[in-house]
Amino acid sequence: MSRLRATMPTLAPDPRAIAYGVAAQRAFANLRALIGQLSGLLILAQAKLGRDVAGLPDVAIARERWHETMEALAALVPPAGRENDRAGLARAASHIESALAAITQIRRGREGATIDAASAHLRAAYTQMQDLCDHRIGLGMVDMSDACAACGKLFDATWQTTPIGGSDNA
Amino acid sequence: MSQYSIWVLEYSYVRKFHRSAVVYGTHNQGHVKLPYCYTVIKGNGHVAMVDVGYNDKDHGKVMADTLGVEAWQSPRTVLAEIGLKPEDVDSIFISHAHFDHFGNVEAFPKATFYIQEREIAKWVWAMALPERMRWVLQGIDVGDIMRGVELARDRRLACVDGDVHNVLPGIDLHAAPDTHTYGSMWVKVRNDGREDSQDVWVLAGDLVYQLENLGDSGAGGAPDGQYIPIGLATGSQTNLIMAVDQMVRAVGNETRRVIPIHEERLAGRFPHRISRHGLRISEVCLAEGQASLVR
Repeated sequence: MSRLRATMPTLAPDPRAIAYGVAAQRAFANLRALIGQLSGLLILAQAKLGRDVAGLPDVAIARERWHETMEALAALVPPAGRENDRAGLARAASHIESALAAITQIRRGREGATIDAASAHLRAAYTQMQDLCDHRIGLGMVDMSDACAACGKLFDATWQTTPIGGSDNA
Repeated sequence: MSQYSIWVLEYSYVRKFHRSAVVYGTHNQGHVKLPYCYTVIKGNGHVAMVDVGYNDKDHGKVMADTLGVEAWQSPRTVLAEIGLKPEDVDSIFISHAHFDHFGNVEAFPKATFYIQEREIAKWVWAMALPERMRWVLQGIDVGDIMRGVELARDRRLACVDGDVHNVLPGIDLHAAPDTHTYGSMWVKVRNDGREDSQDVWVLAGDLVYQLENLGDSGAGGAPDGQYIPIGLATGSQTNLIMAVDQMVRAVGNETRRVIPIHEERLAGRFPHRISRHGLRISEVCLAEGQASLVR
């Protein structure tokens, strides 16, 4: 089955698996949004030379969301076959924390090195999360589940029938 | 004397797209073919584009598959139909940051990209919203935003704030805030180069999907019906209507001069041919001395 499956949670009967899917999606979506949010801040910092982004409320919001995500990760109880997910998400979160730390160091007129450092950490986090993608349980780098015209393959019946923990590489 | 040639190049399409997403309120009225295109503007020593499409790999492919997009071809293949290479393109105007417009920047290694600063700033804001509000993020690929960081680092991303006059000679950018997206923009080509141009073309981005959005029943003259907004507005339908009216007035009420790239009926409006990949090349206008590439 392709890894690139529509973004919908599987309806596997095991309640523990369902709980895991919901909890993992929450953490995954938060990390995905943080990567996008911080990347956007880096664009603005560079496009408007000298912009001081460290003091923007967006940075404080990102930090708060990062803490929420860490709490969600700590509560994650993966079922058999998904034990590596939490470690992978934690690694991504660690890179995002480092990116946040770098962004708070961005100062007008000497932003180059810190932006490069933050960008490198965000790329590493993104790569880490790409490796964890499993669209059967809603772990994807894009979310089109509410798109206005998600009429293509969204309702491919296979997403409902593939159990959590099974191979996603076949 | 026309300074620029303009071609609309189809790079993929959705065979059956819900009409209600294209023309507001047309529920249960079936489907339309939705071409996915970008536009090339060539002349005055420049090769410019409006939008770059998406890259049919990784997560761009996920989004495209979700929407049922098919027949994708790379910019190298598509641009070759008009004798160009991606490396020839020096300026790219991004109408908005949705994946099918901003999703293939890496294919154009020598271009400078122009986007409204508001488009980036408001997506940053939207990404900070709680998960229950994620609807506002539809069409956005985080990977595209990351690639924007690289462009900015290389000084190839210009975040503009509002309208820009003569971004290239005779070409203006117009902001349309809080319409289809937070920071959409449209492009005006004054093809005779005059300030009071009598030869204006408007490249509408996604502010217009199809003729109905322009109040155009097919005649291409002054609007003969009311403007009906597109089905998707992250901003407001009212702002969309206002932006459409600005565009229509910019072309002197001649609606055929407002180019909606998702409109299959462009085939009946401008000379065109179909490539061996089944994709349309529409020739909107030709610069002085430029031979037709579709006849």
